[in-house]
This record gives sequence, C-alpha cells and structure tokens, in this order.
Amino acid sequence: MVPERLLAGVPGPGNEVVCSAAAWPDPGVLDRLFTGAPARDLIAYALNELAPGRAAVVSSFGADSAVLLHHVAAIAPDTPVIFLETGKHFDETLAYRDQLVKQLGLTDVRSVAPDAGRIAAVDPNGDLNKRDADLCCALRKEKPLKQALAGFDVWLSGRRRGQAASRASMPLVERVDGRLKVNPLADWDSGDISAYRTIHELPAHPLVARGYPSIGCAPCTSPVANGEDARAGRWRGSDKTECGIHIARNGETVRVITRNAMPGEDPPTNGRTNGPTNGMTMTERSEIWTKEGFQADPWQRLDDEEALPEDGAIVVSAERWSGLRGRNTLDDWDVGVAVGEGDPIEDLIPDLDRIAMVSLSFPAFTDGRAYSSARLLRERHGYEGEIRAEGDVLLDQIPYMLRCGFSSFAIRDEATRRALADGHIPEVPIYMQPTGSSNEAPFGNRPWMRSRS
Amino acid sequence: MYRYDEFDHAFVRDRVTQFRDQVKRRIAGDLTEEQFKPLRLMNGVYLQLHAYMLRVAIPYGTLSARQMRKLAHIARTYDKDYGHFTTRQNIQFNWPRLEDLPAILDELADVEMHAIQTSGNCIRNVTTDHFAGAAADEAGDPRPWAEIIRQWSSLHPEFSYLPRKFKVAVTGAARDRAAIRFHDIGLELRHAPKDFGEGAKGETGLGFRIFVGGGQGRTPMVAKEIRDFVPERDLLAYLEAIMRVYNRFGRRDNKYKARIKILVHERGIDEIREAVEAEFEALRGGVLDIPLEAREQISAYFAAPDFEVLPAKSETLEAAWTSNPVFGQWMARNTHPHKTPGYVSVTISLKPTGGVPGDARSAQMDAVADLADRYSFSEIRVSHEQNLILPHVRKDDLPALHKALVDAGLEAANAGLVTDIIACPGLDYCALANARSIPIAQRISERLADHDRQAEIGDLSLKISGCINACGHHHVGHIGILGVDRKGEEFYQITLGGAPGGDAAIGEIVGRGFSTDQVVDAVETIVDTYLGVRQDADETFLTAYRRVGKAPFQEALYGA
Repeated sequence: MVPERLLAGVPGPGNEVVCSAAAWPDPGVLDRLFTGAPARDLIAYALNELAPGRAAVVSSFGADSAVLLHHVAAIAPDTPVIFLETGKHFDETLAYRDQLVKQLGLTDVRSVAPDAGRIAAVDPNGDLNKRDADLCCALRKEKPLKQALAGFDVWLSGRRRGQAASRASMPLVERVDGRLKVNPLADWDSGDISAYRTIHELPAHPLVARGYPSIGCAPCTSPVANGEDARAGRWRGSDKTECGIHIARNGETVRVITRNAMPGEDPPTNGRTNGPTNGMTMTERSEIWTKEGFQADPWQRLDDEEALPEDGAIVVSAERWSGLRGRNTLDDWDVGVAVGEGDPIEDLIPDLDRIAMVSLSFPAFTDGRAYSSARLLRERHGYEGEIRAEGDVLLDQIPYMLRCGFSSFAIRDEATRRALADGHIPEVPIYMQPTGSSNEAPFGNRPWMRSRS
Repeated sequence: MYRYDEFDHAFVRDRVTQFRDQVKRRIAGDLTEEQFKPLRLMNGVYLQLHAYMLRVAIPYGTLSARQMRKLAHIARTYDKDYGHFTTRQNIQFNWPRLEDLPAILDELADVEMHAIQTSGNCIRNVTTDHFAGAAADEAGDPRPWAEIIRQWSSLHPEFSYLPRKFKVAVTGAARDRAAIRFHDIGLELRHAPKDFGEGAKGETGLGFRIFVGGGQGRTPMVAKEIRDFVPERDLLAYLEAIMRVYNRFGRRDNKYKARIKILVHERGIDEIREAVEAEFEALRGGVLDIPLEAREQISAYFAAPDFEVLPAKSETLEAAWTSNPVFGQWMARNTHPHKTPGYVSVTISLKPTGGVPGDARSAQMDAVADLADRYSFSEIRVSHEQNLILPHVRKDDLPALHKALVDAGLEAANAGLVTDIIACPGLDYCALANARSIPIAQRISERLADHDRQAEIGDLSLKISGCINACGHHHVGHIGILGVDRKGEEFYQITLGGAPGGDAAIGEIVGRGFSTDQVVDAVETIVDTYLGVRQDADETFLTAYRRVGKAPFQEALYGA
C-alpha cells in the first residue's frame, strides 16, 4: 500500500497526485518530474518526502563525492552515509573522508567493513584482487552494502552520466533490488561539479591533482591520461568497469537526447536518433485525429527489419527510405517516412513528390523542433502531402501544430482525445504574425501580414 | 504610446479565455501539473516559495498613468498592497491566489496589458532604453521596433517551445542603457555603415546591428556581433532566421546548456552566422517583409507629445536650485538630458534608504500616476534598474514635482549612486535562491545612506543576486554580490568591475566569500579603497578599477 503522505508529497501546487496509487512510487515518473530541476530538489524530496528516516547515501569519498555530500548536509546532516571500508583504500581517501565529515557536519557516517571471518577464509593473504577482482568486489563491497542497506527503502548515489560510457544512460531514479536508487547528479558534467565545488569552497580529494579523476581501492586504481575516460584507471587492464554495486537497469537503456547535427555535419553517433519514442513500438497503431475528426490509422508502420507487404500504405524510417528510394516504381505502396526525433528533414527534399506522408516526432511536448521542420516542409519546399505529429501530442499545442502545417495527429493522451472528440480546441484564433501558409488571410492592421505582391 | 486596436483587444481577451479554460482543466485533473506548468508560465504565473507569483509585462517599459492606476488597484485588491518592478521591465505580484488569476488578467486587459510570455521557453517581453524617444543621443526611436517584435513574437506557433527562454533588447541610442550585449539577441538601431551599398541600405538608411548569445546566469557571456547592419524592412526575417536555427539546433539535453549563448559558444559565431544567413536569404522579402508605410503606421503611435517651445534655461529651476540644496542634490542625480529644449527626463528612485529595491506600494503607484498626468503627458517608464521614469518633464515644473515626490516618500536622490541597488527577490520569495538579497540591499543602503558621501563616491552600481541564476545582474555590477549557500549558511561572493553597457564586462571574483555579518563591512571597505586609489574625483569606480586591478581591493579585504 502507498501511504497517503507519499502521494501528497509529490511536488506541485496543492500536492496533486500525478500518477496512480498502484504505480507509486514510479521511478519513471520521478525521473520525468525531476529532469531539469535542481539536484537539491530531488535530494530534498528523497530525504524529506519520499522516505524520511529510510533513505541513505552511499559514498566512496572519492573525487566527486563532496558535491552530493554537501547537498545532503545542507538538507539533513543526520542522513546515514554508508562508506564501504574495504580495507584497501588509499590513506588519502580515509583522511579525506574525515576532513569532509568534519567540515560538512555529517553526523551519521557509517564505515562498513566486510565480514572478518569471510575475509580470513577467502582472502587470507590479501591478494584476492589480483586473482579475481570480481570476487574481491563482491566480498568487500557488494555484500557489505547489501547488509548496510537493510532497513532503507531509498539510497542516493553521486554517479554521473558523463563519468563513463557505462553510465551514459543512467536515469535520475531507478529501481534496484526492490529499492529506489536516486542519482541526483546524473546530468551534471565535470564543469558543473567543479563550478559547484568552487562556489561552495569544497576541498578536493588529494589524489585528483595527482591524476586520479576516479578513485576506488588502492590496488585497482591507477592514474588516467589526458583524453581517457575518467574511470579508465579503474581495474585497468581488465574489461571490468563497475564494481558490481551499480548494475544497469534490467539491461534496459534509457534514452539519451543528443545534440542535433547541423546541415553538413556528421550526425551524432551516440544515443538513438531513429525509431520509436516513449515506449511506443513501430507497429503499434494510434487513433488519428484530423480536422475532419477521428479515424482509424490507414498507415501501417514497418520496422526496419519487417518484410514489405504486397501493397498498402506503409510508413518506414528515413533510413529505410534511403534504401527504397532507388526503386523505379513504388506504385504498389503509398509510402510515408517517419523522421527520427529532431533529425533534419533535408535528406527527404529531393523525393517529396514520391512521399505521401511525413511523420514528425515530439519526444516531449516541450520539444519544439518539429514545428520548424513542418514549416520548412510546407513553406520552403512546397510539400502538399500529409504531415503527421506523433509522440507527446497534447491538446494545447495542437493549434500551433496546425498553423505550422501539421495535418494529422496521433493522439495517445486520454484527456486530449476526449477534448478533441467534444470539438474543444483551445485556440486564440487571432494571429499576430504570418506563417507562409496560404490559408491565413491578412486581417486588421498587422503590417507584416501584407506580402509584397 | 501604442494603443490597442480592435484586433489587439480581441487577441488579449481570447488569451484570457484560453487561460481560464486551462485553469479549469487543471483543477478538473485533465491537465497534470507537468502539462499545466508550461501553459501557466506562458501567462506569467510562477510557483514561488510561499505562493503563486504573477509577472505582468510592461512592454518596452512604457506605462500610461491609467495603466499604473490599474496596477495599484491590483496590488490593493488581490495582493498585499504592493508590487515589485523587475530588472526586465515587468512588475511582479507576489501573493495572488490561483483562482483570482483569470480575473486579474481580465482587469489588465481592460487597460491593454497582459502577462503573455513573461515566462516559459518562449520569446519574452522585449525590453528597451527607458529614455527612448526622449534621450538626446538617439539614432532612432527603439519603441516602434519593440512593439513590432512584441506582436511578431506573441503566441508564435513555431517558437513557443524553444530549448529555453529567449530575451530580446533594443536600443536606439549610442549609449546602451538596455544592456543589449547581455541578451539572447541585442539590437542596436543605427545608421548604415558608410561602406554599405546605397541600394542595400533601405529607404531610411536605418537598420540594426545585431548581437547574439549574451546572457548572465551561471554561464555569463557577452553577446557576439552576428551582423553589422540589417535594413529595417528585413528585421523580422533576420530574427526569424536566428530563432529557427536556435529552435532546431539548440541543446535540449541539459536545461543549463540550452540557452542560445551555449549554442553560439559551442559552435562558434561563424558557424551560427553561416546557418542564420542561409536561412535569412530564404526568408528575406517574404511575408515578414515590413514595408515603409507599415513602419510609419506603427511609428505614428510613438509620435512625440505636444512639446511647448521653451528656452533651454529655466529661471524657476535656477532659483530653486540655489535656494534649496536638497532639491539641488535630487536634481543633479535624478534628471537626464532631453532632446527637446526646456525638458528633462526624471528618475523616480524606488530605492529609499533601507527599502526593498523595486517595490512600490499602491499609494505610491497612484501618486506617480497623478504626477505623470500633471507633469509628463501621462507617461511613465520602468527602468531595468528598477526605478520609474517620468520621460518628459518641463524644467520649470521640477521644483513642484520634487515637492510632490517628497510628500509621497519617493524623493531619494540616488539615481546611479551606490545605494541605487539592483537586487533579485532572493530567498525571501524565490524557490531557486540560496541566500537572501533584499536584507543585504537594505543594510548596505542604510550603511551608505549619507548623501554627501554617496555624491563623493559618484557613479557606482551595486547589484545583488541570491543565486547563480543572476536575476540581480551581479555579473555586470561595478560591485556584484552573489549569495551562495555554505553548509546551510548564507555567504556572499563579491565580484568587481562588471558593466552592462557598451563597455560590457563580466565582473571578476575578488576572493573568498563573506558571511552575512561581514558583507556590508566588505562593501564599505571596497568603497573606501576606491576613494583612496582614484586619481581625482572624476575617475569613476569602474575606470579606477580597470586601471589598478583587483590587488588593492584584495589587500584591503583580506590583508597582505
């Protein structure tokens, strides 16, 4: 059961519930809610609202640890902070721990040591790290952590996406072994960290200046050269990159939005640039709304691997289109092309007269890139086919989409569907500026609504 | 002043109706808070620490007396009897109730005002020189252009969901009083450069020098010039080209790297210019072309009032000046040269000793409205320094105006002096702040209240922000103060040497921060150090600082 208090703690005026009780607390919802918000909001929420008294911080007192600990100290200095005392740390790390604890006023730092009996049995000579690093980590880190976290529902970690390729898709909030794991600094880059440290005058780990941007146990940590991944010095010479206490989320990656390529620039290579968004699969069909009302979607979306049907209306990715476009005849199909979110539409321009529909994606309703794409298609390139909006398409943005040239809308939001079915479109029907669309008549004395003709 | 026509009236009313519907759907649960937030923001509604806050636009800082009375009425009726004038020519009401907001917007619409796009990731209220149309040093009046941009950008279908907020400022004067190099786009109305081809200058020979990518916040940057001259008729096409490049290619993966300044910084101004110019070539001469007759039509709204033909020298003024030293002090600081003989522009300081910078009570707003009716053709301006301006006052009327200001408690004679402090609302109101700003401003203003001492110090701007978002413009203060949080305690970092205008610069951090108890002493030490190092009384703080650097100040603050 979800306690009422937790539901009431969801941020927002009047503390309205933003997801159903059954799903709460949903890491995906928290992730969306706090994306873009200051880290301290998420930390304060985790410590004070989500699980007061049942949240702990896990810290290595390493190169970047001071920032999370400083946040925590400002909000609740009595928060339990778990430090895995593996017995293999650098002396500098232990001294740094003591310095930070004192300076920040943390009152409940728990240095957790591995079970002495098991150490004696498995690693009597203390050289297990050389023989089996994974086993060493399991003995000295994973198992003690598991025990130390008993009784906590939420734990906070200072990991960041930019630290390593293995962390690039880490969400702000994830569920791990039945607990919520909160990564409030996930989207901070090293510049943010150093700016924060400067502003708050936080001391640096003494080894950072000596070429260690990421610091673990002494035997398995080496300095890093310029240009290397910050964590390249961890378990150097092996393909091990994480100690095992930070596992991936069910092997499932979280979408990373990458910057767009400008015309003439190579497209970004990291992250997905094509394909389904928001968990919607290529073959899933939505109800389609146009100015004439709702209708079944006549278009069939094909995965890149899916066989072409005999005939019909098919939607393919821009990538697949680049393979199809060489065919002499496409008579058997009506072809629509789904442009990946934010991808430039320029590649489609030479073929526009053979493309019956272009689908543009709104990965989030706050992402306005597709408005520009639609206007370019209509006004610059004279495209007269269907332009479809898909993704996070909501009621209040539809009037803008119509003006930019969208003509059909894949609607998933229930409230939007209801309002459209009732003919309720919240538009300000007076336009203060022209688009190049031919169906907007000049009105009043807006000077720029008169073209030069 | 600009007057709404039937079209504008209908537009603003429709917008209120639309928002009322959105509030209703929010209350019914059809909109989640996440979905509602950008909608309320685009109507100027924020959620602050204690309550909702409504930010009302004062387009290009121009108010009529009637509009000012309406603001007073709203403060009295829906708020705690005061309003707060901001650094971007807006007014904020700090305590409205959500259910009253549509009614307040309706009241505003009655006087041709609104809160459209005072927030959200869209093109914000366009700001300009508070002396526009009055200053002696103008190439042209920037207000018609600010109005044209306001209209073009209102509910723009393509640019309402930008990567981040977008601020535009316009100046028409040689001396930049609108801080255009600290805006996403800064526009300087100017005559065409000499080497510009006759045919390309346009009918008037006037156009814009355009800067892009300036801003403050956590990554302060001075804007870079993207083009030295765009003829008047092509301005909107050029702006649309910039906006389109930004909308398509600006970063959306990190809120703190989403402003256009980061795009310009990462790609370089040359790459951005190339993309903008290509887009501009395609848009130029299309529907956004602004023919001369249309420009003249808008400019007509901003025609000069019926100035009397007066001698440049006023006998009444001379007499009062010599007989009343308090008036003389005020007159020396709070008036600005006017282009019409016999007139001046008057700054009404909202920075009384120990007061909250930018706050005005409803009775004061009413008083200013009355004075504008009597002495300034019913016109008022709001400056980005959080003061009010009466733009067109006869020199003969100054003694009477001053007396009336004394009666209203608005006579502070400190325009441009060290106590003319800009401060953000800080931790007293703002959910983002790390530290309080207002109490620091109040204590500094009390410490340095003595007028003779301030006059001796001369031009010195002091700006305070309660967090790194820099709403108090600390980066461009001659003395900047940034509130930071250190272990739950408020600390203040001091920067020196910043400047917002044509001599734009970002202040340098002088050293480690000061506690709440120390910071006022530190400011006084800096001021005294300046008085010690300056060559003569004509060497301003900024000039002296640029000559001697920060070493003498560090030594005075932290010892050898």
